[in-house]
Amino acid sequence: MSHLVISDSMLSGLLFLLSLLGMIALMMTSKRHKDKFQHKLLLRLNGQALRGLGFLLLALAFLLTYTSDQTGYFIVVWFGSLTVAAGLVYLVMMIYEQLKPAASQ
Amino acid sequence: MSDSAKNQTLSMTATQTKPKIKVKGYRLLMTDVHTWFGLLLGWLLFTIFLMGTVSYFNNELTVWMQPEIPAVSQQTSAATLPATSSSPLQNVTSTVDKPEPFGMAIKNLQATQANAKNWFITKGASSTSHDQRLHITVSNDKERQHYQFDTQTQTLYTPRDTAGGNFFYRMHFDLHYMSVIWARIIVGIASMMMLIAIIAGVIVHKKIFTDFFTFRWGKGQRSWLDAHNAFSVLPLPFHIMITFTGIITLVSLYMPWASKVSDIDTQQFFEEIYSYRPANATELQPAPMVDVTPLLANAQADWQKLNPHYAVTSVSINHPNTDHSMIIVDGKADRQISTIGVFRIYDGQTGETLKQSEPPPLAVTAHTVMIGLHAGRFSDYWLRWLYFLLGVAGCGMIATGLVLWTVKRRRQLFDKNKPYAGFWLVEKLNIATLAGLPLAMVGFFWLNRLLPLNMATRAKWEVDGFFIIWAGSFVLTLLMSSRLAWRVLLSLVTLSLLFTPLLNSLTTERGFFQSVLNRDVLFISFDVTCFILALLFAYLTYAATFKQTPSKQKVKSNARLGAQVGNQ
Repeated sequence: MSHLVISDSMLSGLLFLLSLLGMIALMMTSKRHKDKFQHKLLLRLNGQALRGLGFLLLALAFLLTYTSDQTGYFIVVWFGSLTVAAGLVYLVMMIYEQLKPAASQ
Repeated sequence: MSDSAKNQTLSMTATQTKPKIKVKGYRLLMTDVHTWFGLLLGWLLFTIFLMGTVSYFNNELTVWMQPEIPAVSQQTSAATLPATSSSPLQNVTSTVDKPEPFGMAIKNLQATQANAKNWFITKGASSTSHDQRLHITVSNDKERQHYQFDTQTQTLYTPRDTAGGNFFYRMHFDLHYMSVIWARIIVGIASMMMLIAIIAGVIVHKKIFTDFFTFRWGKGQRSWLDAHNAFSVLPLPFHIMITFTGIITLVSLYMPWASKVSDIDTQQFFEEIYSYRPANATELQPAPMVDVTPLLANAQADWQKLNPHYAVTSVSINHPNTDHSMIIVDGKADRQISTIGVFRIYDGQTGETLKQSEPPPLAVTAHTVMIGLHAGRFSDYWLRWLYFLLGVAGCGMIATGLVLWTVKRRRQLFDKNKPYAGFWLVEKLNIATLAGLPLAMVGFFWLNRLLPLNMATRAKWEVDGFFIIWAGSFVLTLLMSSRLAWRVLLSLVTLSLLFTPLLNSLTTERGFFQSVLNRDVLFISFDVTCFILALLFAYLTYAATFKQTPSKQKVKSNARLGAQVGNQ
C-alpha cells in the first residue's frame, strides 16, 4: 500500500478534501442543522447513513496517510486538515445563519 | 419542651434544611477551575500563544526584516544592489559544472578568512533555506561576522542589524528583560494552568457535540460563549497537543530530578559537548586541511542508507588550516518530525572519522518528536499555514475567554460606569493585551523600516520600541474609558496594518508591485496577510464601535444595529 502513485501535494489536497466532505456530512446530520437540509437533494440518504458516510470519509483520509513513506508527517497534516475543514464548515454556517433572515425577507 | 424533644426537633430541622445547603457539583467546580485557571495568567498565555503562532513564520519574518538581501529568485538583480549591502567577490571561480554549495562556501572562506577560529556554514532554517544561499558565521577571538553567501552569483550579503522574527520566537518562552530560567518557569506554570483549564473546559462543556457547528449571532454573552467554544472545541486536539508538548519541551527544567535519579554526570556531559567548540588554543601550527567536499558526500550517502531524505544541513570547522582543525557535519531528514539529527566529526588534517551519531534511545526520540510537533519545523508551507491557523484559533480561544469573563459580569454590575476594582483591572488588561500587543507587533515591523540603518544597537531599539508601544497602549487604556480605548487601539492596529505594505514600498525596493514582478512570494504573502489582518481588525473596530449587547435578545440584529447607529 505504501507505493500508490500520489504526489505529496496531491495527498495533502486529498486529505483536506476528504476531511471537508466528511465534516459537511457530519454538519448536515447535526442536531442544530439537520432541519435545514431535510428537503434538500442530498438527504435522500437518511441521517444515520450520512453520519456514517462522514465518519467513513474522515477514516479514509486517515488511512490515506499510510500511502506515503512519511506517514508521521501526513498524520499531522490529517489532524490539521480535519480542524481547518471543521472550521471552514463552521464559518460557512455562521455566514449562512447571518444571511438567512435577510434572504427570507 | 424536654431536652430530648428539643434535640429531636433540632435534628429534624437540620435534616430538613440540609438539602437547602448548596453543595457545588463536580461540573460547577470544574467551571470555577476553568474560569480562574484561564483568567489568572490569561494575558500571559495570550502573549505566549500569539508569539508562538507568529513564530511558525519567524524565519520568513527575519527575511522580510532584511529587505536588502534579495530573494534567490531575484539573484539576477544582485549586481544592481548598493555597494554597502553586497560586495561581489573576486578570485573565486564562478564556472562550476555542478556546484556543491558547501564546497563553494569553503573555497570562499579559504580565500578570505583562512585564519579564523571557526567557520560555521548552514543552509539556514529549512523553511527559508535554499542550496544556493548559505548562511555563514566566521568567529575570531574578538569578533563574529554573520553574512549570507550566494554560491551562484558569488555575492556576500550583510543584513541590517535587526532582531528579526527570532525576537517573537524567544519571547514565546524566554519573555524579555528578565532571567531566562525564571521566564521559562513562569511560562511553564502558565502552560500547566492552561492544560488544566482546557481539560476542565472539556468537562464543563455540556453540549460539546450538539453545539459543534453552532454559532448564534447577536445574543450577547451566548454569542461570546459560542465563539469561545468554536475556537476551543474545533482545534481541541491541537490545543492539547501544543500545550502538552510545550511543557515537555522544557520538562528537564520543571522536573530536574530525572538526571539525578539516573546518576548522569552532567559535568562530564557538558564537558564533552564543549570539547567540540573551538578552544582558545595557543599553540596552533599551520597545516593543510583535507578536501571537505568528499567527506560531506560520504556522510550524506551513509545517512541516506538509513533514510533517503537525509541531507547535510550545516558544516562547522574549528581552527581551519591548523593542526587542530576539526570538521563537524550535521544532517537532518526532510519532513522528519523529531528534531534530532545526525552528525559526524572528522579530523581536519587527515579526514579520519573521530565520532559519529548513534541511534538515540527511545525516550530521547519520543522527547524530540514532541518538541518537533510543537515547533513544526518539519512542515512545508502547507502544513505551516495549518499550524499558523490553529495557533490563531488558540489566540481566539484565549481572547474570547478573557472577553467573556467581562461580558458575563458586566450585566451583574450595580453601576456599569463604576465597576469594582477586579472588573476594572481585567477589562483594562484585556484591552492592553488583546489590542495593545498586536499594535506593538506591527510597531516592531515599522521600527525595522524606520530606524536609521547605521544606528547603534539598532536591533535592541526595535525590541525596546516594541515594549514602549505596548506600555503606551496600556497607559492609553488607563486614560480613556474602556469603550473608547477599544476603539482607538483597534483602529490604530487596523491603520498600521493597512499602511505596512505602503511603508514597505516607500522604504525598500521590494514593494508589492515590484514583488509581483519579481515573483517574490514571501513579500507578496506578507503584504496580503497584512491586508487580511487589517480587514479583520477593521471588523473588530466596527463591532467595538457600533455593536452593543442587546437588552432583549429576541430583537433582530439588523434592527438593533440600525437603532444603535441612529442613536449615535
